[in-house]
Amino acid sequence: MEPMLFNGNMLLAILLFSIGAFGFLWKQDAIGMFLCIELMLNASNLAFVSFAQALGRPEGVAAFIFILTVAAAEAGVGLALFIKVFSEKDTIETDTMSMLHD
Amino acid sequence: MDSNSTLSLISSRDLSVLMPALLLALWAIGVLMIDLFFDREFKETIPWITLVGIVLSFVDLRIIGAEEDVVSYAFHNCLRFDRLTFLSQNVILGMAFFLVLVSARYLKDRAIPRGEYYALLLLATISMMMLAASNELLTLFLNIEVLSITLYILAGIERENLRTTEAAFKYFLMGSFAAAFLLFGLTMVYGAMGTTQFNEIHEVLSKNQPVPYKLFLVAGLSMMLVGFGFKLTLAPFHMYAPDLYAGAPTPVGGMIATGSKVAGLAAFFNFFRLFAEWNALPSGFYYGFCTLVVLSIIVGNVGALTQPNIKRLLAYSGVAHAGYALIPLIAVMHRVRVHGSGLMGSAESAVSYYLLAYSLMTALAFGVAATLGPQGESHIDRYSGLARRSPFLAAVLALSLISLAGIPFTVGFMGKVYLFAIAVNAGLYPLACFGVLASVASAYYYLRIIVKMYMEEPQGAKLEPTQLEGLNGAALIAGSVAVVVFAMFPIWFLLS
Repeated sequence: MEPMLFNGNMLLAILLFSIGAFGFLWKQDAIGMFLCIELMLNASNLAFVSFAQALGRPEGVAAFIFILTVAAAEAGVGLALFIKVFSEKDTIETDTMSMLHD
Repeated sequence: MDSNSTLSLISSRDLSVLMPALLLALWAIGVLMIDLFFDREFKETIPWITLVGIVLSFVDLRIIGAEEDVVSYAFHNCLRFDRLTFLSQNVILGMAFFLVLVSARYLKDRAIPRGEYYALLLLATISMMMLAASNELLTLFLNIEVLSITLYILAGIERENLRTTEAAFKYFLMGSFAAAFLLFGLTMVYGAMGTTQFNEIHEVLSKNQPVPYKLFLVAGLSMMLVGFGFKLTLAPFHMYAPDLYAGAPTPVGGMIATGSKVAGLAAFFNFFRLFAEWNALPSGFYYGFCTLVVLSIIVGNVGALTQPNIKRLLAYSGVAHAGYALIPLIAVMHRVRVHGSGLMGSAESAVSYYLLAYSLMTALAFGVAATLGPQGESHIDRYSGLARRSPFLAAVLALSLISLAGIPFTVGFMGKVYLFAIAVNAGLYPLACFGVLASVASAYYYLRIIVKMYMEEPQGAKLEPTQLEGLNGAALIAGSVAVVVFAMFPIWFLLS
């Protein structure tokens, strides 16, 4: 078995995921947060494909296509939501979303 | 029944177990086409058409049936149809039926677009049914994502209401974040096990060989726990739920609270059962899982204690119930650590019964809140004196709250009996005691509403009475009857 832990691919995927997660928590605007989510999803993509190559199994590459499609669908829905919120409030900073606090 | 033949991609057996979901898919497209091409008069029939579709799917599901200990697979083992799946799909279809009946008046009052709402409801139901049947990591992820995306749209479908849009906005961001965690965890599990099929994972684990890259496996499992914890509203990943339930349209809140949780729990159980029976599961993971469950029970009950908003109260109650529902899995893990095996069969039946019980009572509560409209959606003070104004609605709500509190002769009580019985069976006496005490303490916030309805005078402005009319009322009455009936005849759930 290849020493996957020391494989640069996996480290890169973990690094990208961490940057995405940290960015999601740090950023205040919705578009930035969504970009970080895309980064996290693509980190998983990278990990999937690199495992597929290391293990010699095809599921990882199939996963890449599925996940990409799902991310695109999610982007469509999310951006539509963002546009609706923006049209009402003229901003999509998450700090201003406090209508639901009681 | 060999669906692994290399010459065919789809066998007839695959299609037959998929037929209920396929039927609903065609129906959803049909509803969208009707909404697109026909005039306003014909569109009045869309709810009825949706109902017919759900009934047909349900009948088809019953025809296919499921005997105990017979498991069928579809699409090269990517989907698994056993008794738990069958029961979950029954419950999901039942909830969809109930919520369609309850939504009709709600949609009309708020001018929510009908065609899209019902089509999305059908699509969400399909993904829930497939999620309960997932037997493979990618299928699991795809179904969770389709479900989540459909629910994001449904949560924000009342476009003129800013609170609803904001709730959907927050749900989208939080949900995508959790899904990304689930996905990365899934990736690590794939890397560690070398396969995405649950059957192959089971084979590798049951041979007791040391798993290569155990670190990846456990890290992956933990991240999947985070992602699932969001979907099931386990603490500490439950924070989005009160805001979401308060902001989303009430029938959609009901769908998220019942159907999505049932499907999520079934998928969770199907996946984590592989590792629950693995006797090399690290203690850290086991204790972490226990902590999650206990924390959910505590946070759910404490959060609901002082909650003045009915929908937020139901959200916190959902958090606690998600905690209770995972007790059988802890029992299995404990038994495996102590004895080596056992208890999976009764865990499966306890979980499937509790799925039915929980979704029935919560759906009833949401149904009453939706029927009451603006009166029933916010502060529980508006429920004061409801027994005088609308006696039947008050009775239905009282029955569902009694069931949620776990008072005898209701389906909620029987569900909790099985959960705590299996904990005692496994030797987890402290956990069972804690669960019972928490359940008793939860009676406070459920019965508080009943007291308000029956023993207090109406406060504030004069509110008009709401009748139980038409199919909406019939659905609520049928649900109430079911709450008592299913408690009396639980034995067929214990057959597996």
